[in-house]
Amino acid sequence: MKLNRRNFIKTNAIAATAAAAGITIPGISTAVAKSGPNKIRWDKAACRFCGTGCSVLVGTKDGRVVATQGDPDAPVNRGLNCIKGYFLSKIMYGKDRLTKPLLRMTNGKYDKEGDFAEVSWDQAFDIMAVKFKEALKKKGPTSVGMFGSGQWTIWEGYAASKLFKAGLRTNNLDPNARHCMASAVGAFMRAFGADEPMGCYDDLEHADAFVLWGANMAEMHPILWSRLSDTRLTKKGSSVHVLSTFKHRCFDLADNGMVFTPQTDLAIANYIAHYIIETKSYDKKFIGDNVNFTKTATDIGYGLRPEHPLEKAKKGKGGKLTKIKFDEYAKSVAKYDLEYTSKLSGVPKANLLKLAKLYADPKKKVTSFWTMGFNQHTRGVWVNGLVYNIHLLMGKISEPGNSPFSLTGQPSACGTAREVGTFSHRLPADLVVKKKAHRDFAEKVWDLPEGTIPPKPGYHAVLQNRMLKDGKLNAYWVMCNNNVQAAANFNDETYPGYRNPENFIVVSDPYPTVTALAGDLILPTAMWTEKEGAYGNAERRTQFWRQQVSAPGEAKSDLWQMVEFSKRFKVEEVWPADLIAKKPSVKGKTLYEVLFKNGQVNKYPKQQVTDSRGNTYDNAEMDDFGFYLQKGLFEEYRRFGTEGPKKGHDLAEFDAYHNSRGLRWPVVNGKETLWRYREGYDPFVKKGEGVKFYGKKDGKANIIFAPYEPPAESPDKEYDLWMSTGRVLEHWHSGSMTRRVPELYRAFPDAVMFMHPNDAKKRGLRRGMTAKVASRRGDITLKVETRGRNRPPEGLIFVPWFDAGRLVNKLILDATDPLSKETDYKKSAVKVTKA
Amino acid sequence: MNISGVLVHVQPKQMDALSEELNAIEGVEVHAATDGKLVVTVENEKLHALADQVMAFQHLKGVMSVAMVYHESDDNENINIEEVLAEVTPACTVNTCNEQPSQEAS
Repeated sequence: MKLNRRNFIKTNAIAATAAAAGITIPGISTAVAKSGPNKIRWDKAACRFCGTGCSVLVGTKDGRVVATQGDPDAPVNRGLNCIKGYFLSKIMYGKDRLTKPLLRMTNGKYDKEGDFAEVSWDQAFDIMAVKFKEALKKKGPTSVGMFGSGQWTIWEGYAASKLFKAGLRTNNLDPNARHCMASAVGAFMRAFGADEPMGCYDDLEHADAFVLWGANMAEMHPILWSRLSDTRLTKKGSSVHVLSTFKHRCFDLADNGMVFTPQTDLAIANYIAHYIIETKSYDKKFIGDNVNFTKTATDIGYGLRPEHPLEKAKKGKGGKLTKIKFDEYAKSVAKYDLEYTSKLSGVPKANLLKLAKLYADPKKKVTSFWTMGFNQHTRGVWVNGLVYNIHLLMGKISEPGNSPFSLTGQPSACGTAREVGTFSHRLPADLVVKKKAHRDFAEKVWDLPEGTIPPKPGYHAVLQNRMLKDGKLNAYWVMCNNNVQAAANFNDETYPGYRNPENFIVVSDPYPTVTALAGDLILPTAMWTEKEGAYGNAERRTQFWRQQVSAPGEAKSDLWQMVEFSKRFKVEEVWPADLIAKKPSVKGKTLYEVLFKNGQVNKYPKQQVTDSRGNTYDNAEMDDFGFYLQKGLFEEYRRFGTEGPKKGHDLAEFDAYHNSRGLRWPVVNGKETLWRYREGYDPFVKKGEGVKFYGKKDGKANIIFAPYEPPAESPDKEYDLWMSTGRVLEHWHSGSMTRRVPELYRAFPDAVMFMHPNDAKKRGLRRGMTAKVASRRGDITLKVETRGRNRPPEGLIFVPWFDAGRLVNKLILDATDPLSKETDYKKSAVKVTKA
Repeated sequence: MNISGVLVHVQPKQMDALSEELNAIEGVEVHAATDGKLVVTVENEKLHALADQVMAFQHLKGVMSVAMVYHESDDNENINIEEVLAEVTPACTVNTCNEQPSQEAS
């Protein structure tokens, strides 16, 4: 049978698109087929980019990924793919992929001031071992550390936790998720005693209304935005409310768009609570049964260095909660009436009222979404909590469509960074290092002597850079992130820290990022489908993929690097004699034998990885170590969920994930959980209990009053503009992958400053001209953009951060939320002049 | 030759105007338009040009979201259909990858 190939392909394209849209086109039907032998092999994988967690089908031919497409069977994206995902197959094939370890050397020897030269893996691990052991001997475990990632696979994060917290006995392990999700984590723990959203993406279809608080979903979560748009366009009476400090693409769909003065989101959220109480719209029974009222300590500073005037001026500290009565809470929010809030925030009264009425309407199902606008905030934990307050007052929570939903920026900020305990204060499954019972449990699972894990939280991300600069953190491994481009205050903190002669900095990356180039040893790294992997997305969905291709040259996965490096340490070199004496069987062993070849992780023998269609796949780590390392790590990690002291973290068995499009935890008896804490949906809520927030001992969630407090830095006479930073659709994070895809690079080659035309005019600037942006910490030059997707109000500019050639982090103040330690990337004071 | 299937969400009020605007672009065809959803194909000899085209859709007034659904490139105009069927559609769509479909809690 012959037919015009063009028409055939076109028919397929139409059929697939119509199916994804839920539209029937007469005469068009999908061609069902199976992949041919020895040609393109298709298999599923989670997308490498954002926290949405789309599944893509990866087409491999002759050892190379040649195509990707949206996975039609994936519940998350239903065959859709955003423009970045569309070019996924190209991210591994940038011309400057690193294929050999590179060490700074002079005359064949390590020299911090030397130039990068190729070395073998053996030489690389030799010098690393020397430097880590030197630091340990000189200053102890607090002088070594690692900066990890929400882009690590689950087993990579888990291996890092084991290697550092148990093996090297330091809690100086923190992920780049500190910069994106720490405030969300803090608020979840305070309100519910358990991390991560109660709802799931099904809320996108169940809700009647959506409220976006500091989230530009149209550009940052395009596939979720497609689903949201679909609901808005097809569901009668549905509405979209968007709050931001500048107009962006989501405003195009908004029924109620609100631009507010930075930081006044605190007041707006309190106003809504006030409106609900004033109009007696709250769900009396729900709050009586399920809620405690509390207030938080105030005037807590801005997480700057202790000698900073703002830290000296603060009167309160920390996040202590005090129980209060409903009446006191009502009185506390009463200050935030319509008049006051409208004046403070700059949002017209009618818009605020419309938003308040929506939340207060018991018949409307409301899903609130937020991302970095809330999390990168010096009161990030507070403001996350203020939205939980609203949902809790109305009982609009833990059921289809009623959902306060913290979105995620990274593909495994949830699955890895948060769930396996890579934060400096955490252990797997919501456990923390400071609780003895939690350490005991981790040591039991890991078969280690009591007292192995240190009780004191380690240096968090921002503190790590400060400690590098101060010479207290000396042997440092940066893996799967680009923190020199990401961390605030590049000139005063990060760069001096990396180049401090007392420090040895190792950077693992597939590409020569600015971080890699600021380091002393670069390790070439296998990425994405060059290894077997697993990610967990924002709706608690754990997804696996198989290794599709081999990594180029000598590049090795993060997992391989950590496990291989652990062979370099004898227990006697890192543990004190009294600890070893508690478990004499570890004597003379290496950390590799104690942590990984421990009878548990190496339990699953080498095998051929095969899918249900009989296709076979490589597994580089299994080949090198001789056992199914990923499976062993996952099965050991799983014990934290099924046997641990914190209820509701159950995961399915390893193989179940390879055979599904992901499962949302807790997974109990093979069944995933879509809405937590509510009877009928959550297996941990018993019959008759209705709603139970079982993360808290009394089963009740906390409503936490927190007031408006000003940001660390506001515009003044000299630095007269707000600057917000963020992402754009075409690029993901620091652009180390997307800027190497020619199509994406061309679509948005260089960062620009989005500015109001009047602000440009006042400064003698026009669209396309080059201008200098300066803060108290540095300056960069950028082209002025007065049109296009982002339309800031007068007084504010927006600068994307993907551009390694224009490091906007030079301008940003390293002020953090004192509770979550997350940096505020949205509010720096700057001035703009002609360049 | 490159062909893509693209799902475009638009403001319903502007759906007809945008369909017309898209149809006027060479190589772009709108095959269905309902509820603010457009089923669009884009054809171009050069992949780069096709990608630029799709990215340009994002910036049309009234467009709210653009999602890629399907893409294929090939140089052969005429080909044996059995071979094509054996190549173009991933095996997973015949359900072999979905042995544990997600279940709603009851």
